[in-house]
Amino acid sequence: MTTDPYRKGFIYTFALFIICFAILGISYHFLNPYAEKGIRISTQAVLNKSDTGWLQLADRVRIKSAGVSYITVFRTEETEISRSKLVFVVPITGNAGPYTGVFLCDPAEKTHFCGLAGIQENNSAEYYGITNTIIQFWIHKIDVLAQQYGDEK
Amino acid sequence: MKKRTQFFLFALCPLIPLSSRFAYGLVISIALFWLYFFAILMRKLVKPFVPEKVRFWIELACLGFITTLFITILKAIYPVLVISCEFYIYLAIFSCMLQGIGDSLASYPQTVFPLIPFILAFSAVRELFGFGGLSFPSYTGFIEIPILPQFPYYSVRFWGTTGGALILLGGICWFCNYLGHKLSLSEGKF
Repeated sequence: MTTDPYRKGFIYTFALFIICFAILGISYHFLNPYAEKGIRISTQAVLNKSDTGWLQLADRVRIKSAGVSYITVFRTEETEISRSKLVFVVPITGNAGPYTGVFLCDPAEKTHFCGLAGIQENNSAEYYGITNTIIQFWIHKIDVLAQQYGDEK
Repeated sequence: MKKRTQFFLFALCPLIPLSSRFAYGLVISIALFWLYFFAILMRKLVKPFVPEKVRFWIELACLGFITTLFITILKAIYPVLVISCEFYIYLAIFSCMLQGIGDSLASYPQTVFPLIPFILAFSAVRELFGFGGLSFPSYTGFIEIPILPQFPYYSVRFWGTTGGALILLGGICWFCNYLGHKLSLSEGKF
């Protein structure tokens, strides 16, 4: 009995894809908690430095309509004096390269920019080429996403 | 190897933002190394079994897998850095894939390997002139090491911007052309 080479090739390719997806799934499952922890530490540091009051990050939130725009969103813990807010961690590309921006979004108030994550020095965002226009663009985008998140809920 | 100028230009585009900090330069250099070694491995794995008709597309899919795996691992090591440069890493690797695989993987070292020391040097120069120091990737962002003392008082941060990068690139191109011209003249003499 002879085996069709195309059939053999198809089976081999299919097996290769299954293995690739399995490796990706396993690595994502085990490595994603480390990634989230790092982002959480940096975001919390930015919140602590900004004038937003004492806010503690709670669980991560998924916004379906954000699509593939690489946006990470956290909820803040609810306290007696403030209700839960949303913290958006987004990639911002300015005049001097890409950075990670942290925005605080309160549905009742205006969204505002807290600072750049991962920067050691206490320089302003403008020092790193992030202009006010770029920040306003992201504030508008985040407002739309927060609105959609409210609708999804 | 055929000349594919449009691919080459396309490959350079994401390198402008990625060369703004030395930390990004390091990350993209590691990404290019990673892609090269695993691309060769995947090619050897795929070649004996997959029919020639579809081999090119299977290789492309495997390269996509290698890149995604790289980003997943990198995210666990430098999560904050990856948020900001993930898109550009995908873009740079994709354009290098187009450039290298457009002809064959055999030409990949010739096209991409010279880029690695260039990216490292270019990002170091840009950061030194633009921010007065060098940065390295860390788990929570950047480790910034100031090298030029009192830099904020006399800095010209323009060199750290995209405009500054393009002017620097123009200067480097002119210098390389000038050297090439001089060398060809001196070879002609002897």
